[in-house]
Amino acid sequence: MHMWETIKGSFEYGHPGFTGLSALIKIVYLMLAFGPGLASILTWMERRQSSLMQDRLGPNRANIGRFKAWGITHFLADALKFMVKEDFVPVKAHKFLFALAPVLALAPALIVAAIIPFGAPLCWGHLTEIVPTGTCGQAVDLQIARLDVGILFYFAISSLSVYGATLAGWSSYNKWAMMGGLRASSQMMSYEVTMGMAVLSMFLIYGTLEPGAMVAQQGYWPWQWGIWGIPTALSFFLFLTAAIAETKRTPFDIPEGEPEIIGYFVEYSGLRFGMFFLGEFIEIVFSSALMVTIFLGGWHLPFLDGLADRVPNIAFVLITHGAWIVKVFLFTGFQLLIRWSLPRFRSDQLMQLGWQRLLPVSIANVLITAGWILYSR
Amino acid sequence: MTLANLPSFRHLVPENILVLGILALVGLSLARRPASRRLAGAIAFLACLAALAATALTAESQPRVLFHGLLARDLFGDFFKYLGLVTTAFVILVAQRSRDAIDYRNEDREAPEFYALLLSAALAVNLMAAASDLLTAYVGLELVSVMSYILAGFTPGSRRSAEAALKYVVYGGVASGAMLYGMSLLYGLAASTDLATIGRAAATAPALPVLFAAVLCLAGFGFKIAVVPFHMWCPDVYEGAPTPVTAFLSVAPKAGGFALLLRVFGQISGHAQGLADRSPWLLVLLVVAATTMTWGNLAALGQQNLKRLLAYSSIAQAGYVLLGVAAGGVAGQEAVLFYLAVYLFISLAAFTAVAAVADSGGGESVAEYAGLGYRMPLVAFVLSVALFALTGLPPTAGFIGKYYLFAALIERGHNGGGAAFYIVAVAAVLNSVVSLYYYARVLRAMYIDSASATHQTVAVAAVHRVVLVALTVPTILLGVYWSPLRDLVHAAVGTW
Amino acid sequence: MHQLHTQTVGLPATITFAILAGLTVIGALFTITRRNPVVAVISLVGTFFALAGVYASLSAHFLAILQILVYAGAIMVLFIFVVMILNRDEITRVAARGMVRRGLGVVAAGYVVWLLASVVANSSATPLLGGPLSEPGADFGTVASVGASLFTDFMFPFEAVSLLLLVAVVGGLVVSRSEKQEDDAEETARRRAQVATEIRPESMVGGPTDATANHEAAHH
Repeated sequence: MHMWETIKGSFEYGHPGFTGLSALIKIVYLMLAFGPGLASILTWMERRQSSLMQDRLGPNRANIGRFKAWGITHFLADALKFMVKEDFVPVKAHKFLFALAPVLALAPALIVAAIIPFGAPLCWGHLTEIVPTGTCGQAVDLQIARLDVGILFYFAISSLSVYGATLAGWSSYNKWAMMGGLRASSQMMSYEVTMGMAVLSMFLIYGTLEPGAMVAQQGYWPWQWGIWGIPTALSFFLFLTAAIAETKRTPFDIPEGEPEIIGYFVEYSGLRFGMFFLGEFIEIVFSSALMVTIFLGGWHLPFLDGLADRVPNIAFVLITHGAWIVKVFLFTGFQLLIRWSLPRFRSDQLMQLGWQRLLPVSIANVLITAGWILYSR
Repeated sequence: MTLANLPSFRHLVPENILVLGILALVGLSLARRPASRRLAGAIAFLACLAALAATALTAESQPRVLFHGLLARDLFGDFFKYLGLVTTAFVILVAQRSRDAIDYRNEDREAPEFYALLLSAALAVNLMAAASDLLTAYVGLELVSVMSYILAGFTPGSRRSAEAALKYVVYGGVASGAMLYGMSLLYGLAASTDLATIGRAAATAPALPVLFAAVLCLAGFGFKIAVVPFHMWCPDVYEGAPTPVTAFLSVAPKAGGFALLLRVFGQISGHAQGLADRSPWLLVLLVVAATTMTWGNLAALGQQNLKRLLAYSSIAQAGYVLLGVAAGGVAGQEAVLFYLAVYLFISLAAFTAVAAVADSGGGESVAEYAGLGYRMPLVAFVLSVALFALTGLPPTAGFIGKYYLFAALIERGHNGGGAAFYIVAVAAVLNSVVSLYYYARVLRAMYIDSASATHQTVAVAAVHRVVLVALTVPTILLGVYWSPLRDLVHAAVGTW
Repeated sequence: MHQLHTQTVGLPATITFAILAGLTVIGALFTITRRNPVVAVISLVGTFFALAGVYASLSAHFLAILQILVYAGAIMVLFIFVVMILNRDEITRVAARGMVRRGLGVVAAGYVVWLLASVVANSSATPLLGGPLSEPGADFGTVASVGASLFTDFMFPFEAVSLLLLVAVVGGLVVSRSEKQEDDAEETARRRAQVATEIRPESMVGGPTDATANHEAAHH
């Protein structure tokens, strides 16, 4: 009885259980429904989009009954295939680490979604009323956790995914896999540095690390977004390159370049491999979401300017959330596009690019931004 | 008087000069490969001299506290800065012709890096000397430690050098960990890392936590000055490191470590009702010092490698100096500072002699030193003077230094320290007699065991000759006329 | 002791601290007892995670995130790198020789633990723990406040540590070079220069465009 009353009471704004319940709902939606959902669609989209670019048919056969829908249901077929495949563990593999590695590849990719704002604040209790911006007393941020350290959380958690690749390579008891694991982790570590440096100038401009505050500082129109301006555009390209290298996408996919070189998941099969696979696509989704947040205005779109004063709150929130979904979807599509446009880097070219080209440019970018801010204030 | 950040920079000119020197050397190593060792040495030497001059010129008798209480600028710290910079200047010269440091037969590889690391170590000794806060003390200690690790492993392709560096790193890590734990306990007692606040809090806190924390801090500082039982790294590192680095390590980190010891423990135990009065802290120090002296001297008796022998001898010397710390008071501190200054010249002279012999093709073992008195008369003479001074025989400065130390001990025993001080003083004299045995063994090899050795004179590099003479003169001179140094020491201790 | 803790900060915080501290100690124990070095490193990562949790429970958010970012995410990855590259087998059990040495070690360690326990018990009489505890301010441990104090009160150690990092990087590069590496690099550079001056592409038989001509010549 007491439990049921606590749960019922948690739906009120001031109740101590409210924050927990709202966070739980957001986690379930974003990390368990939206993230993996969009990632799964991306697995099909990548193959279909690449086939369209290469003037061939691509996967279009999977069907549920009579509905083929251009083969979208391939992601369900893939998931089913991974689940029923034989789970093969090498005899001399380190059992515990072998099982732990896919978890360490998948979990950080999901957890980083905790700081990403995915819509305008919901005004609890006044959902069907028109609430102009900034006048809500019971605002529920559409953001799982509003941390003061913000983007640092993203960097901290994504630096744990390096362990996934490294341990996968080492615990397979396979020399090829171990070399692949070392290659992957050295690549990820190198580009983490550039990522941090690249986005440092954005921190200077925004004056905050918190993504929700960053989105609030950006406006509805493209010239009010984070990407407007020369140091910020440079920062955007540096961060984009580093994020693509971090998620081990082409042209930085030497660690998993299938026909050329053996990667670190050569001994993984079935659902374990599926976890690596899905983890990579979820990383794509949420790193795109982060870039949209910092550089492309978050959930802001031009025609939404002033809409908050004309439609009920719930409609406005849903529209902004839809705008965010569209932006993230287009950005992930852009990342998929890059895959089939650029040839793969060699390992040494990759390292040289990270340390000798991108890093000095990003450090110079920070210095220029700092000088400009100092001069103009 | 506590100064804020910007006004404090005026008092930091020596350190700024050293930083400029470091940056210039790093730039040189990037700009030109390979860079001439003479150019790198010149930059480093000039930086040292300029820093020395700056310290002397900006010294003020009024002590100040800089950077919101983190750094102190007083004559006490300035004294140790002089020690560190003079050591560095001499070592720069010695390294010019030491193949295990800078391979001058192979394009002077890594000469700028060597000198940059050396200058950083000198800067770190400056920091240790001036620390008035646990934070700065730790930063200085770690900087000198990391530089020492790298410099000890500098000889390329040498297994001994790599082994020395590895042992140093592992041992230093453990010692730093213990010291940090002690520092955290001190912070917990005082709610501040400032040494003065800690001193006041230690006077009112229960004795056991303060004693525990002090012993743990002694682990860290004792590792730097190589007293028993934190001395295990010393022989291997001294033997494996390049000889100029060994010369540097035998003086500069010891000086910095003793500066920190005096500052930190002076605060904790110096006040009325401090640690000294309410716990057996002085007994701990005396036992450590006595064990160090005895262990160092006894272990040196059987050594055949000259660098190892000098390593154990420097362990024993640190024991003697620790006696002065235990004696405490004005007399004890003055004795410590005086002995460290004298020890600088003696130890550098001994290691420069070893470097000169190694450079001209001779080995490092006592047997290979046979007939050195005839092959390299200057080197042998300087080494003899240094060994006599280490023993503490007149008319060298070592005798004066030891006299002051023992006098401070007796005085403390007289003023209520108890019989322990007298006993330890007697033990120290006996130890000096024992040390004469193994020093004399080297002398015998050089001058008397010449039957089978050739008597052809071997050339010594000019740089080494200059350094040897420049170090021997003060050693003998200060044994006869030491009042300028005495006045300097007196002024230094008086301000703090 | 735990009663004092519960009275001061409340039961949920005490439970949280107990769990996090327990995880820290378990992780540390695993680190020193595992025979497999990679598992030991992973246990240490877990320890650092739990430690970051302890920092977060003390309202030091910035420090907690930095602990994960720097220690668990960067330094331990380098540890794993080195362990994997060295690729040693599992460590054999450490055998301290002789019962006397082992006995002395146990006695010494026990004495230290006893001293530590009495220090902790004694410390409740100190001003820091004996006095009333106050709630930390709203901006305690935030990025802004840590950054502000780092660049004003603690600017000197900050700059000193940055110098330490610079010279340590230089020193690390110096120590890790090997004579063979440098000689190999010089050798390769010399050979490349030699090839560039001596061999010209047109004089090479059987080049990429020469295939058909060669084939025909071979057949005739």
